[in-house]
Amino acid sequence: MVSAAQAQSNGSTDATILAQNYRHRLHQIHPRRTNHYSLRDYLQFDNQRGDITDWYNQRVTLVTEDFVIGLVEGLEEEVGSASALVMYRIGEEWGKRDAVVFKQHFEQEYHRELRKSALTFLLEAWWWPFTTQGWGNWEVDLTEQKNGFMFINIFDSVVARTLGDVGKPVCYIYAGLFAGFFTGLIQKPLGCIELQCYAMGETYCKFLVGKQDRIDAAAFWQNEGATARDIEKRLRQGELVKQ
Amino acid sequence: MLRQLEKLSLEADGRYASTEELEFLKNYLAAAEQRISAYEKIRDAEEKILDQVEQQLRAKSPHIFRKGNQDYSAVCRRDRKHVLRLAAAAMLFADLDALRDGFLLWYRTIIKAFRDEKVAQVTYQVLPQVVNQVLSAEEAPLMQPVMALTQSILGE
Repeated sequence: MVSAAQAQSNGSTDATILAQNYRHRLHQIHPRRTNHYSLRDYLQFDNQRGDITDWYNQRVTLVTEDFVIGLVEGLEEEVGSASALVMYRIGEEWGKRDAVVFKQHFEQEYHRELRKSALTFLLEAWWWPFTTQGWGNWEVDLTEQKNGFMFINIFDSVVARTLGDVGKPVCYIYAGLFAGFFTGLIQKPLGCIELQCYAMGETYCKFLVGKQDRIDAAAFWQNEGATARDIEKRLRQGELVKQ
Repeated sequence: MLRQLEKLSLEADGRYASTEELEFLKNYLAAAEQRISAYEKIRDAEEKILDQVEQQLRAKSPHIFRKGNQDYSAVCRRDRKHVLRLAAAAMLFADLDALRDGFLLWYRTIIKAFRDEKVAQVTYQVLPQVVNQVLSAEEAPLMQPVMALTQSILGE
């Protein structure tokens, strides 16, 4: 089961109503508590109202694996091979909006500016709600950050786990989410591509996040049949596609 | 224990609980006084425990709390205090799952984010030994599984 939070944006009347109506009790009692990522702490199940809210008073919906299959296959039926791009764009928009919401939450919670915080720490703060809500554990490799790219490993991707071994990458929504979030975070356009996927028989999913020239190069090599390891090696060696 | 009680109340709804199902409750109640006593001893000796841990860590490595020119003694002490309090609560309620899911798994990623794995490894080797010193022979085994879980997750 996975859940998705409905992100609120400041200035919206609806968002204000949501914020007034939904209050996470544990958060109210312990506003400074930072270890709140167990499912029972992070989510508040209100039996009387019949709703679920997260730590930040956002409405949350639980969905089944059937929903995920329905979403992916329904989109494929509607738009064919463009469904990958549509899912990526959905993720990208989500990520961009989430970068704005995350900045507010982070600065309220830790009383420090995002740009003055250790990147590794703020990334953990960003991803933990996703982990809690069933989007999988992650591991970020920032060793090539100075060279304009980074790798993210996702263990237990909800999309790949649900679809099973279909022989191709399927986590386009994750790729879009990472592209959108990191674009929003550093205010520079970034892209993302899934280099290996659990749905290709791998043990985990691996994503490359970086400037568009890196992503284009990786996509080219991938189309030529290169493995994730080959692509990673080429990128680490500073190789780009010859124009 | 609280989670087990919650589970039992759900599963035994509309029927009597079996003897086997009540076993955890009997075990908990049998040691409840020792749990409270151990909790109170840790609570009352908190500063002493933290001081001793700090002394032992400094004895092992004088600059253990330094990173470059920055001294992180106060931050590390705050974090150890947090771990000790949550560990003591987990022992009191006999709820290791809550400690693991609600704190340790998250905190491990924070330790990793700040590259503090080595300091954590030493810290959570020393902490159980110091905590044991304030507990009686009957109380120490109640804290042992909590400390072992903490060490295995944070001190890997």
